[in-house]
This record gives sequence, C-alpha cells and structure tokens, in this order.
Amino acid sequence: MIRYGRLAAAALARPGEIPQRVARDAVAAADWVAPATGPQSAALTEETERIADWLERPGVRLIEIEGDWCWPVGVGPSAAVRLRQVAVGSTP
Amino acid sequence: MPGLSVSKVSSTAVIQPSFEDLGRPLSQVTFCVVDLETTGSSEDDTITEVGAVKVRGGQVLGEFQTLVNPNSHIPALISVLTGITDQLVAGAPKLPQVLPGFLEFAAGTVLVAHNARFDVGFLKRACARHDYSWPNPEVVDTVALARQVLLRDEVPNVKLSTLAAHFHATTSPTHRALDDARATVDVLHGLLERVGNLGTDTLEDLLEFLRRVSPQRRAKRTLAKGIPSAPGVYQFIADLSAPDGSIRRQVLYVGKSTNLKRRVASYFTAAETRPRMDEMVRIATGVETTVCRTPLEAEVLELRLIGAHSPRYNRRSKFPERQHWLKLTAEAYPRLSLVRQVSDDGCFYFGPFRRRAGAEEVMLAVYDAFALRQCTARLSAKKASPGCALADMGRCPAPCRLAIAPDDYAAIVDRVRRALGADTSELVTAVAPRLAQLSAAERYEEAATVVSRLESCTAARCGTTGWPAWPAARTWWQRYKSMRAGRST
Repeated sequence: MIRYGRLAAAALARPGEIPQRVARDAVAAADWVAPATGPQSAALTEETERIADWLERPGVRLIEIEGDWCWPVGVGPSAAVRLRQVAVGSTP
Repeated sequence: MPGLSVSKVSSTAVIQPSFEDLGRPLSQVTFCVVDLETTGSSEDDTITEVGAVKVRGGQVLGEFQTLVNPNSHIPALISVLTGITDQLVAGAPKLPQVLPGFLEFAAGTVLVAHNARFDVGFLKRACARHDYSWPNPEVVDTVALARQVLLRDEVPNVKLSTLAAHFHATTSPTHRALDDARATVDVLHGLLERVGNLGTDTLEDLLEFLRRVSPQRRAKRTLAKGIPSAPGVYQFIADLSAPDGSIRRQVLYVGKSTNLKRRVASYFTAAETRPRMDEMVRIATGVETTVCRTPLEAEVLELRLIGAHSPRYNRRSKFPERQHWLKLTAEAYPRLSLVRQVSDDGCFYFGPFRRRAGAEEVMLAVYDAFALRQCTARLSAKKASPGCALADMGRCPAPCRLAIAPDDYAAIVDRVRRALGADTSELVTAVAPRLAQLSAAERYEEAATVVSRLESCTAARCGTTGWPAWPAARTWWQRYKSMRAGRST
C-alpha cells in the first residue's frame, strides 16, 4: 500500500490465502500519511524512487490505483533515437 | 517503525532449525590423518611411505601403513632423516598398487595432515599420474589450525615435534609415516579441544576457522547466534559507555538481506574483506534484526533506518534532504527559477534534483528550445524597463521592453509547462530549427552541447546519481496523491 510515494503497508499472501483479501486488510491497517506540499512525495526521495522502480519490475501488478500510472510522451530510448535524427537533420 | 508491521526478533525466539543450520558435528566426522614420506619436496619427487590413521569421535577406526618403491634413488640426506633406504623399499609395492588401497581407506573422510599442502599435493599428483580421480575431500591442516588456535607464548613454532610435545602426544614423531600420523592424531585432538570453547562444534565451523580472520572479529561470532534465516533488516549496534557511566546506544551499520542469519554470520568470516567492516565489527556489541515480509519492505525499512540514525559505517549522501527544483514563477512574465523548497503556491514545479547542476542542465535545455526570458528581475506588464544583450541579439522576446504581449508570452510558458510535464517531444521539435542553424554554420561543438543537454532531459533514468534524470516523469508522484499496489503471489 503506497500513499503519496510512501510505503504505508506491506502484506504477503501465503498459499491458500486470498490475495485480494490480504490486500484489503493491508489497506485497512495502513498508515495515515499526510500529503506533502506540491509535487513532493511524503517520504525520502530515495524511498519513493525505490518504490517506483519496484512498481515497474516484471511480475508486479497493481490492484487498485487512484489516477493513472503514466510517463510523459517522448521519454526513454525512442526519444534518444528521435533526438539523433533531429541532430543529423533527417527529421525536422 | 510506524506502519510497517514488523516483528522484532529477540535471541530467545524459538525458530525451527533447517538442515542448513545443522552442519556436521565434529564428534561424528571421520578424519583420515595422513602423513607421507617422500624422496624430496620438489614436484619430480615421489612417495616412499604412506601412513594414515582413521579416527572418529576420538576412537581409532583403522590404520594404514605401507612402504612404497619410488622407482628412483633416495638421496642420502633423506635416508638419514627418515631411515628409509633404497634396500628397505626394494621389495615394497609400487605406487600404482598402493594408491587404490589408500583411496579406499580414505574414502568419505576428511583428510587431516600436518602442512597439508605438501601431502595433498603429492597425493593429487600421484592420482593424476596413475589415472585415478582425486576425490576432493575437505582438508584440515593442523599447521593452519595451530596458528589460529595457539598463542605466540605457548609454542615457539608449529613443527609437528613441537606440537606433539606441547599436547603430550603418546607417539613421538620420528619422520616415519605412521608414527607421524599417530602424533598428528593427538595434535588434532588437542587442537579440537581448544576450539571447542570458541563455539566451533561442526566441521563447517572448523573449516572456517582455518581461514585467517582477526581474533577480535572472530570472537564476535556469537552475535550471530539465534538470528532467523528470514529476509529482513539487520543493525549492528554499539553500547558505548559515557564518562558519567550511562550507556549510549549507537547504530553503527544498517543492511538488508534475504537471509539474515547467513548474511550476519558472514561478517565474522574471511568472506568479509572490507577494512571498514572489520573495524565496525570490532566496535559492535550487538546485532538487532527485524524480519520483513517482502523485499520491498526490507528495502524501505533499511532506507528509513539509515535516514533516522545516519549510521557511521553506511555510505550515503551527507544531506539527503537537500534537493533542487525548477519552478515556473507566477507573475506577469513568468521565468524559470531554481529553488530549494516547494511551497504550496500553485506554481509549476519540476524535480527534484539531487544536484544543482542537474537542474541547471534542464534549465539550459529549456532556454535552447523556447524563447523564455532568462533574467531574474520581476517585470511589469505595464511599464517598460531596460533590456539586456539577449534582447538585442533576438534570443529573448524582450518582455522587459514590452515587445511581446502578456498573452503571447503566456503561450510560450504553456509550451514550456507542457514540454516538462507531459510531452518531451515538444522540446526536441522546438530545438530542431536551432540545431539546423548551428550545423549549417558548421558550429558542431555548440550543436553537440545542445544535443547532450536535451539527452539529459529525455533519458528516462540516470544510472549514476540514484535519482532519475527525468524525476517528475512519473506523474503519479506529482498528480495522483494516493495509490494502492499489491503483488499477487
């Protein structure tokens, strides 16, 4: 359970347990986290970074999210390729 | 730790042991104490006599002794030392006949020898020469063991004769294989008695004991007792006594592991080679562990503990809270401002950056792409003020001289906001004409600088600094205030 970029609760569903119920219980028992000012996260930047990295690891699934999980357009390897093209003048 | 429901594990907790924890008790290990006599000590020399004693739990199970015909002359010096002459070995069996018998005798045992490198080397070479596979048993060297166990003022050296006398061996070594092996048995038992009270009661402990580890560090092995084999976070603690007699608890080091028991135990072995950690273990007076349910929980708990205690032996930045943001100011003609703190003023913020240089790089990339003003003065939308060189050069729309209407300038600001917050490709598109100009004018170095600045903006991650080059890219952090994540197992 993550609130404002801070790990508020963690739970592990043992074999035989219902993952969704374990998640619901974890949410019910999770920390209350005060929202930080502006776009800041409510934890150390390193913590939020680790959580964000973990969320994008293969095998990790979101059960529920308020809002969307998104990156801006034009970030990453495809942007580097396009930048190279622009730099050599093949693309306007 | 609020929120993370974790269980503190005290050393009295009852944990079901696994086979991994058990090890082989020394009393149930069969040792084959071996000694060889040879024609010399070089690689070309061969074995002239093999003597071995098999012992388990202090009981002698069997003895093995035979002379070996070396097929070569035994030097006089060696004959004087050992008493084995050419005539004595003339009728003895040769090595190919002796070797299978010895390998059968030693099968499944732990080899023990005094200066084991010598004896094991000869046996390995003999096996290779006569096409027998070397069984690769565990080897205990009584020389190495004696160096670790005995103190300098107890014995002047670790020769077999010295040690046999020290431990009152029943057989005195005579440089004949079986006698020396029997003496080595007594030396081994004497040494095992000495390591017993140092917490060494399995073969695995004994083999670890042979490695060179500082005694101060080895003495701390008991700190690892009772730690569970579970994932979690460990803290090395020092209870330092203040001058007034009170005890001040200090956290020295925080780490995480998927197997706490194995990880903490490794700090007291030769596997730990970092000098800083050696120093830390010497100071430490205790280890506290916290079991976590998921690796992420352990990672986060480690970070929070490091943040809370700033342990002396953890390497991390000195000012973790220091961060830099780019802010689009709220005024008639907004500008980019480098700030250290985010306030609740509704302005657009981009960040955080760990280093100021990173924020400056992005700021320059924005200036390359968009005609945003670069001055820091607060400009009035009604009254013109003097312009700067950039305005004269046409690099700035000169809002200072009221050369641009506030609405037109606001359109530029909107593009900046969009480029930083939602669509980076606008940044690249906007910089393309300038790049074309630069390359047409053959100003390639300048063009390369512009491109590298853009690259620092569009790279999704920056591997070295820990924080990404595009920090606000994960917009959930910026806009979506709450989310729930679960991992189905």
